[in-house]
Amino acid sequence: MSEPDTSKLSAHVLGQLLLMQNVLCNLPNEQTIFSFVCRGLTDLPGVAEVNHVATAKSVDATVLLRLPLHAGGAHWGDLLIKISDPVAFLPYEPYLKNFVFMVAVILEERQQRQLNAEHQSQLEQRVQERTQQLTAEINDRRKIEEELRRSRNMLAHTFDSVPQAVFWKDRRGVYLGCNQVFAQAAGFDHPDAVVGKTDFEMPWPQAETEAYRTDDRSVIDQNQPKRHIIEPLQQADGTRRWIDTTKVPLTDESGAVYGVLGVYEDITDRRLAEAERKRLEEQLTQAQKMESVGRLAGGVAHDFNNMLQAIIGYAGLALADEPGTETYKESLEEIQKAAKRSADLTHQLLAFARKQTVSPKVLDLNEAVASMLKMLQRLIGENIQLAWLPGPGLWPVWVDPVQIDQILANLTVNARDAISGSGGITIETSNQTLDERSAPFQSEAEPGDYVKLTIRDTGCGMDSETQKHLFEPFFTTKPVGKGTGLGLATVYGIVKQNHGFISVQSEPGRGSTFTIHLQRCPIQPDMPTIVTEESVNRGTETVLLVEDEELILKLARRILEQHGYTVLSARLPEEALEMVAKFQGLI
Amino acid sequence: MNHQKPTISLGFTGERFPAGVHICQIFSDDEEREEALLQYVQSGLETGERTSCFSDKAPPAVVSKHLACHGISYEERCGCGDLTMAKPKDIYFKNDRFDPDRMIEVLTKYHEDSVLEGYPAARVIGEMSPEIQHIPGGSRLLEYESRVSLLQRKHPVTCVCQYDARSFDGAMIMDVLKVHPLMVIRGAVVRNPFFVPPEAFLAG
Repeated sequence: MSEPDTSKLSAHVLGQLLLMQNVLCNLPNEQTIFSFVCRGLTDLPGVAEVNHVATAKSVDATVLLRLPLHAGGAHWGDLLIKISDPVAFLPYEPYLKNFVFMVAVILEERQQRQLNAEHQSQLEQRVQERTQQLTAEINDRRKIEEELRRSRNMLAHTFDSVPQAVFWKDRRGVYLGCNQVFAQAAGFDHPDAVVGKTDFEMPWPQAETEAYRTDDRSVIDQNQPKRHIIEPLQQADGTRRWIDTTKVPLTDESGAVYGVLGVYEDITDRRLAEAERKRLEEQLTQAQKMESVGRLAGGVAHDFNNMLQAIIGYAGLALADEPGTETYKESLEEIQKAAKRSADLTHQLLAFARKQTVSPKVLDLNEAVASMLKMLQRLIGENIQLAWLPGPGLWPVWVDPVQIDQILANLTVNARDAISGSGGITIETSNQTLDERSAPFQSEAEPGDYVKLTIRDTGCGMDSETQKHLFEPFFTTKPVGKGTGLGLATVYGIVKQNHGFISVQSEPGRGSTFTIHLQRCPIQPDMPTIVTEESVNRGTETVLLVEDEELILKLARRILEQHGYTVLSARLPEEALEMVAKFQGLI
Repeated sequence: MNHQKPTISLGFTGERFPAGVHICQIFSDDEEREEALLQYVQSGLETGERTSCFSDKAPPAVVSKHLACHGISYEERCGCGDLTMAKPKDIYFKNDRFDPDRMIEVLTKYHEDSVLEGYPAARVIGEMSPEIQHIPGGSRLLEYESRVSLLQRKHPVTCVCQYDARSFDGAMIMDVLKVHPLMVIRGAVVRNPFFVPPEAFLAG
């Protein structure tokens, strides 16, 4: 193709190309652009037809010019131009090529704009989504913070509401927090004032501070709680209180101990009340004993009087007899027998009525029961038959004999009261070994060897409701003024004190059976045992004897002198001291 | 005696033109279209021309608000006949068909009445609805547009024809260019090199 003749160019046609280029920018899409361009280019001189093809595999033979729409690596197909007058067209060919390239550039810019717009839109969408997400997260966080704040307040309020003092410290003993009760006891207005302090900055005495910290360290080091530490506490106002403290380790998510949480309760008032209650209980128990003693005394008086009658009678006979005769000796022996029986009665009465501390001993229960039988018979009266069934080879038990007397007296008196008119009470002992299978049937029992004491009566029996409350202090089915309600509670207490257990089987109208299990005592050489045989000692030493009762003093002096002793006797302590001062030898 | 036609302002361009020009605006941006429309109406009313607007996209509230900003009462101007607002359908597609003969008569009468009523000039702006492509008589659109150019020689009613490029095919837009001597490109009015004089166009 020869060089175009620019002198034949029409400004009008070039203006058309320029205008089309400008209008293109206002057209909405590629399809409209291609359609617009194809229609506009047909006005070019020498052009018969213009078509746009996206992908043209083969070009029509009549097409003389194929112009690709290509720019910036992008391709929008080709413009296929049918030339009807090549001579007329030739001057415009380079302008057309420029125009087509500009169309491609416009398309590329448009595409870029669209991509930018899409990116911008996507970006804005992402920004919007992220903003919404962040807003939601912020709202969630605010909610969580609000929830946390509410939980903290609730926790603080809860801690402040509990009557106990609550505190928690880190491993170094630095307070991390506490409730209002604790803060006030320590002399602070608000729990926050305690945070960061140690026990050494509290009003506690040095020794007690050390004790608290020792417990803290023990709980932290062993990762084990310490419960019910009964200890003193000095409050900020200087008052001394007794507290019951429980400390537990504080652990994090991994289980590592990072501190200790403590809760203590002021038990000062409770301790005072308990002491008072114990004192009153002792008084009541003593009163009950005395009541029993009173009843017993009535029974004993008759026998004692009989004994005195015998002593007086035989003494009269002896005085009338010649000393040394057989009848004289028999009278003296009867006097001695009656006096011994009187002494036995007196001893039993004293043993029962005596207020004494618990002194457990290795005891043969059969012997203990047997020694009480006469007194028990007197307690229950003549209309009730008392049967005694001692078990053979009974194992020893470790118990205060006086407590056995109390058990027997209380249960027997209760049995007597349950029997209207005549009936029977049976006391029975036996050995029993509880193993794993039988132990569970006894709710409080542990497997092992036990000595069983059973008191059975033929009385009116009890319903299940009465049995439920049977061992409660001050519970009684007896009329007002007839029972203290402490009898069975005392029995229960004694049994528990000696690590035994008690049970009852009863039905209305079918009597009651109380069964007490006491642990078998393995006898050890150093354990005190009851001396059942009197040992008779003789000697030549000098004994100082002081007794205000003239008759007893005289008798004792004679007995001691008969056993070889030299006796210095006095009725008053001052008199005794004077004798000691004057006596030259060893007393 | 000076027989030169008086020049008028179109509002959307600083250039002045003799009354009775035929201009097309190919748009694909609604703001661009609305701005041209409002300024064209405003400038017509400001110079006392009788003004008509046939558009679906010129709500009275929008026009009223714009005019109020320039001290023109929409209600008053509509009341006295200075301003006519109508739907394209009611003007172009009466009886559900497009009739170029009727439209030419309407424009002729509009101009004649305006002159008789003492208006210094008359102007019209209308947006051609894409519906034209589907209703009876619609294929005579280009004939109508070409005849408007012919009409203006005797009745110099100034006409601005708005075409939404999003609603017409590219070839159709090129054809529309061929029957408008002037066109608006990016706010400027340019001579249209594609314009085919009506005699030639109508003869073709």
